[in-house]
Amino acid sequence: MLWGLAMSETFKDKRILIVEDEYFIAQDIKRVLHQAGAEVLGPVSTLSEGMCIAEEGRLDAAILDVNLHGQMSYTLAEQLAKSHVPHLFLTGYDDWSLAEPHRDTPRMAKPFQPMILLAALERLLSAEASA
Amino acid sequence: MSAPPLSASALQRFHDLSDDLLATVSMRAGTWVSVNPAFERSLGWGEDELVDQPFSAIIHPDDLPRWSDAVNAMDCRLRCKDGHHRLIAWRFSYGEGGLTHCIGRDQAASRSSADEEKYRNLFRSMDQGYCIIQLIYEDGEPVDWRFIEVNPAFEKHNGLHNAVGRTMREMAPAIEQKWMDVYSHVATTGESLRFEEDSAALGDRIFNLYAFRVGEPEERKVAVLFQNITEQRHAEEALRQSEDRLRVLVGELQHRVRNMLTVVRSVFTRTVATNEDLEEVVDHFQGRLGALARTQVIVARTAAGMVDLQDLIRDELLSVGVHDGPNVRIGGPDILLSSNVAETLGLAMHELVTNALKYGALKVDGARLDISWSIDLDQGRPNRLHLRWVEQGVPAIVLHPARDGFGRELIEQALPYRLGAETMLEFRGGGIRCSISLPLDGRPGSAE
Repeated sequence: MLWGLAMSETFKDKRILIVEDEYFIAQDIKRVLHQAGAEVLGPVSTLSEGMCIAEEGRLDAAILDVNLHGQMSYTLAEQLAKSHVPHLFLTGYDDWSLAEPHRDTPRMAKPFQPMILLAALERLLSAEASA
Repeated sequence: MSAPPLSASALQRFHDLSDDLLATVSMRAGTWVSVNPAFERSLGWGEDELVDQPFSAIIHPDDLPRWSDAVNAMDCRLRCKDGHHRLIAWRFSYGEGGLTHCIGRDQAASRSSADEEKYRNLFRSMDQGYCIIQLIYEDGEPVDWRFIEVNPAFEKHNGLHNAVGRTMREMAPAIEQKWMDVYSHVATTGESLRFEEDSAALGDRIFNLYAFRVGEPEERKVAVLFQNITEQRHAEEALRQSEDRLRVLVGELQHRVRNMLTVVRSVFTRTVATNEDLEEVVDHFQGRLGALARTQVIVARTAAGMVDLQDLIRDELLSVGVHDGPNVRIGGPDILLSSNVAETLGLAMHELVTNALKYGALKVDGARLDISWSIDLDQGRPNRLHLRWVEQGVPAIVLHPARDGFGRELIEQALPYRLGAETMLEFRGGGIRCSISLPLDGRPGSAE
């Protein structure tokens, strides 16, 4: 795929965590990232698994579902922010139903388009690189 | 032509009968020269008590200077024999000998009876509670009050019966001090107050009140207009809470709808990726969409969004025209599943049913399908579900390797991922055997 090739340099060897509790959605994201040349951590479906990976490994970015089996992924987002790992929410929630401190976190609405998700991730990675 | 002048005796009769006050005064001497009987009827003073007395005998001291300076007309207060004052409107006419003729009309008298009746009716018929209270002080501190007057709506609002003449503490000993303080403030300062206040002593009622001073300041009397707004406040509170709940619900609904659409899209992608033939794609995708839709319908049946496992399985079988009977057995204890569990499990059931219909126990004559389940209890609460799908009597030759692979992926990968399930799927002689064991708290990997 053309866009996959074009972006392959951006995502090459980038370690990206996926936390998403719907199996098929998680697989979709994983496939998109693989095609773009990224290394995928996970996908995992629970907050605790996500926290484990965030604590132990070097991460370049993370994609977080907000509602994981009824648990909000905010604590993980805060953990990532503390260690300067750029991340975005992939969620069906509108801004106003997100908890106040997280309304400025980049948000990708479900259902998402693979290209737009990649573009958003690229922005996160380049902002981090120039920071 | 003008009428002939009235005789002196006719004038005298008018003078005696008039309800207006008629007086002749000497402005120079500052005394009453003559007064008519109306003075006695409306003020209580006899003629002999006023004639030759100074104005100050009955005119309010504050009004005296204006009285003396008046030219054509003025208002002033006259003291009645019983100590009250009445407001009198005067007109003057200047006669011979430096005498002034005065005609006075009692301002209150002309209005009072009609007005009083009007106000009495108003207070009797209005829905608001109304009372006049008189504060009681001990050592300069307000400690209680007595009810002087109450209207019929009074007790409907505060539940106090036969209040007139009794004190508040007699009827509600626990009445809060804050009430004394606020009424005492009104009584002493004359400031009118509109406020809202609750009272545990009056059965946890909430009131809306308007209090204003009446009578002379030293009487410490306060009139109170009030309304019991407890139910209104509670209704408002309930409405606010229900709005909050609705807001959360709308947020959740949005989330669920978008999530579901995303799942549908992912299922579609997988279906396309695992089928070569377009007709197969259509067929499989429609079946899966149908299964997702059926679960949504069952979820909506109960307020809590729980799904009965038996309903889930029967609906799935019914969708392809299969009922339970000698060859199809469905059995297990009643169990309600959360919508999360039901969604993924429903899809798994759909894959198993479709497979059985095309290649397995639901296609082959004489074959049998057993769907059964049991539940582990933890302290009396369901905590794990064990579901078994067993096909028997399907000739080995009809066995088909996992169709497009979607069903196998769903059972072997998606159920463990999504629901923390342990699954087993076997194609062995006689048909498919599948077992699914999953935690019922909805969180995979949690030790609860």
